[in-house]
Amino acid sequence: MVKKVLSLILCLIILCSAFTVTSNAFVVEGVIASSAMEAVLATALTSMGIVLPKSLQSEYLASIYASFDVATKKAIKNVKISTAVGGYLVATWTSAQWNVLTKWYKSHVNVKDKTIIVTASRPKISYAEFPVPDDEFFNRNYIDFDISKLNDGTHSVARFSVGSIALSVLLKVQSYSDGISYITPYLSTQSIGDSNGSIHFETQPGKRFKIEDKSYPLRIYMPHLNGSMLLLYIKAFKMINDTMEAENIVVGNLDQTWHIKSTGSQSKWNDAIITSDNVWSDNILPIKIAHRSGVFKTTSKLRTYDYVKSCIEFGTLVGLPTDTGDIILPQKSKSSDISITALPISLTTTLTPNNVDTYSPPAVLKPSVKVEYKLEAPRAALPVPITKPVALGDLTADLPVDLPKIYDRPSVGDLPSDQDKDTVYIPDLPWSDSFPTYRDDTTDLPVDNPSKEMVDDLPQLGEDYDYPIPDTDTGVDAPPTVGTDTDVDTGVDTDIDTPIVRPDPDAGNTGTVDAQADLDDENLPDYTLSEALLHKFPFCIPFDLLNSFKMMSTAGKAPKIHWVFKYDKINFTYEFDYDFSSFDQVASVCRWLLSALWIVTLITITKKVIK
Amino acid sequence: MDSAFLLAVKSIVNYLLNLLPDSPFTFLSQTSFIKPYLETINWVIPFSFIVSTLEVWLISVAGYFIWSLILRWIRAIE
Repeated sequence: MVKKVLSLILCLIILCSAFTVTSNAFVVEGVIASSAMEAVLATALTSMGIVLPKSLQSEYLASIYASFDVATKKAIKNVKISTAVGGYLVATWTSAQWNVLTKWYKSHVNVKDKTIIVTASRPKISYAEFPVPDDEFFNRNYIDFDISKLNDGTHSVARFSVGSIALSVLLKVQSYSDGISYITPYLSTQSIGDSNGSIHFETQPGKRFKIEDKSYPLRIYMPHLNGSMLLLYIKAFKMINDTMEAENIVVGNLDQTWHIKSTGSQSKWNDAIITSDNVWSDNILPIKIAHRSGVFKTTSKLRTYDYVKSCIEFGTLVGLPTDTGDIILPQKSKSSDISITALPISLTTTLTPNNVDTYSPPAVLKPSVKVEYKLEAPRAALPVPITKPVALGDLTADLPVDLPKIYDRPSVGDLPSDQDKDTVYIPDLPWSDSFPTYRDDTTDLPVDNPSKEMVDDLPQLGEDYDYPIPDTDTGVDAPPTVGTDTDVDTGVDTDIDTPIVRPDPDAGNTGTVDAQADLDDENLPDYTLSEALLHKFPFCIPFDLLNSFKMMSTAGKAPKIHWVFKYDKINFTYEFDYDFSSFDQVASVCRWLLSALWIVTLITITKKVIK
Repeated sequence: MDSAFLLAVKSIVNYLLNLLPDSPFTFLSQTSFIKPYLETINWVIPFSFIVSTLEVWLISVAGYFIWSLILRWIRAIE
C-alpha cells in the first residue's frame, strides 16, 4: 500500500516535472523544478530507507550520485564561463537544491585529500560524446545538439532533465567559445518527451565558437550533472562576487548594487535581468526569469544569504581553493584576461577523512540585515457601544441635568405623565459582565464600587427617600414613591422595564433609588419580547439557521498553501508555497454553477412548501 | 390600572418564556474554529448570494402564508 502511494506521488511529480519541461515556457524553471524535485525526492526517500521502484531508482539515484562524480568534477575543471552565463546560472538556481545536496553530501560522502569518494555504489555514469566540431563549426554562430544521442537506452535524459542538459551543454560550449558573453540555450519544443529534441545555442553577432583545447572532447554526462552544477555555481558566484566589468554587465561587490542585464539581442531569449539595490540588506534577490518570447512574466525570489552560505559551506566541504579561482574569463576581446579570485571566505576547517560528522561551517559573510518590527494591532478592544434603543434622547454626560429628562423604552409601558417631568428616569443601561463599568451619576466618572457610592450620596440627595422594598412575591422591585402613575398598593413596579428611578439633585425633589435593583442584574431585563423569542426554542430555529448562513458569508479569497517538509534526521527542510489565485476563473465558474443550483433548489422547495 | 395589567401580562409572558429552553443552536454562530477557512470556502461557495436569496425567499414565503391566512379568515378561500 505504501509503495503504491509512493509510486502514485512520484508519478504525479514526474507528470508535473514533465509538464513543466515540456510546456517549455520557462526552461530555466524547468531546470529548477526537475532537478530540485529529483534531488529532494532521492535524498529524502533514500535517507528514510525507502526503496524506490527499480524503474525510478536508477533515475533518481543516478542523478544524485552523478552529482558528485569525480569525473564530472574533472570535466568541468576547465570550463570557462562568461559573466553573463555566470550571472544567469546564479540567478536561476534555488537555494533548496543547495541545501539538499550538501546535506546529502555530508551524510553520504567522505572527503579524502580533496578527492570526492562516493562510498555508496553508484550506477554507471553514462555520457555521450560529440565529435570535435569541424571547421565549418567555427564559421557560424550557432550550434545544435541532438539530445537523442544522450539516450543510452537506460536513462531517458529528455524526460526529466532537458533543462539540466541544456545548461550542461551550455557550459561545454563555453569551452569552445571565443569571448562569448551571450549564449542562448534554446530547447526545441517538439518531441522533448521522446528524446528527439535538440539544443540550440547561438553566439552574439560577430562572435564565433572557437576551440581552445581540442584534446578535450565534448562529453556530456548524464543523466544529470548536479554536482558539476554545484561546483560551477560556486565558481560562478566567485566571479560575480568580484568587481568586474564586462559587456553589458556590471557586477559589484556583495555590499554594492549589482545590475546584470542583457542587450536583448537577436535571440529568441532575453537573458535574465537582475536588478537589486542593497541586496544584502534585504537578504532577498529579486529575480526575473526570462521568458522565451522575451516578455518577463514572472518574478521569483532567491534568498541570497542562504544561497551564499550554502555555497561557502559546500565549497569548504569539497576543499575549493581559497586564494584563486580556477576559472578564467574568456574575455579575449577585452584588454586582458581577468583572473577571478575566490570568494573572500576563510576556510578554517581542515577536512580530513571521515570527519564529516564533526564538520562545522566556517564563518560566513553575514549581511547586515535590518530587522523591523511591525506594531501589532492593539488587542484590547473597546467596550461594545450601547446599541439597545433604551433612550429617546441623546445619552450624554449631562443626562441628569438637561432636558429631555424623561426616558423610557419606546415599546414598553406608559410614558411618565407630565407630573413626573421633574423625575429623571435613568434608562436601564445594559448590564454587561464582560465590561462592568460603573459610573457616577453626576460626574459620569468611573467608580469602583457603585453600591458604596450610592450609599454615600444618598444623604446629600435628601433624607426623605423612600427606599424601595423588593416584593418577595413577585420578585420585582417596589415602585418609586414619587409619581402618580405608580400603584403603591400593588407593591410592584409599574413597568417591567422601568428604569431605576433616581432623584434629580438639581430639582431637589425626592426620588427613589433602587440600589438593590441596580446591583441585581437578574432584574435587569436583557431582551424585549421579540428579542427573547429569538433566543428561545423553538422560535429561534429559523433565525439561528439564517444566522449560521450569515456567519459563513464573507469575502472569498483564493487560498495559499505553505507546506514545510521537515526531516530532522538529515536536518532537511523544504518549503513549498502555492497560490491558488491562478484558479480564480475556475472558482468563479464553480460559484456560478452553485448559485444556479441554489436557485433551482429554492424553486423546487418552494413548490413543496406552498403546496 | 393599565400599567398593572400590562405588568401582569408581561410577567406572564416572562414566565412562559422562561419555561422555554434556550436556543440549542447557538453553536452555529460560533465560527471561530472555521474562521480561518471561511475565505477559502467562500471562494468556492457563494454564501453571500445564498444568504441574500434565502432572506428574500423566507420573506416571500412568509408573506404568502400570512396572506393566505388572511384570506382564510375572511373566508375568501378555503
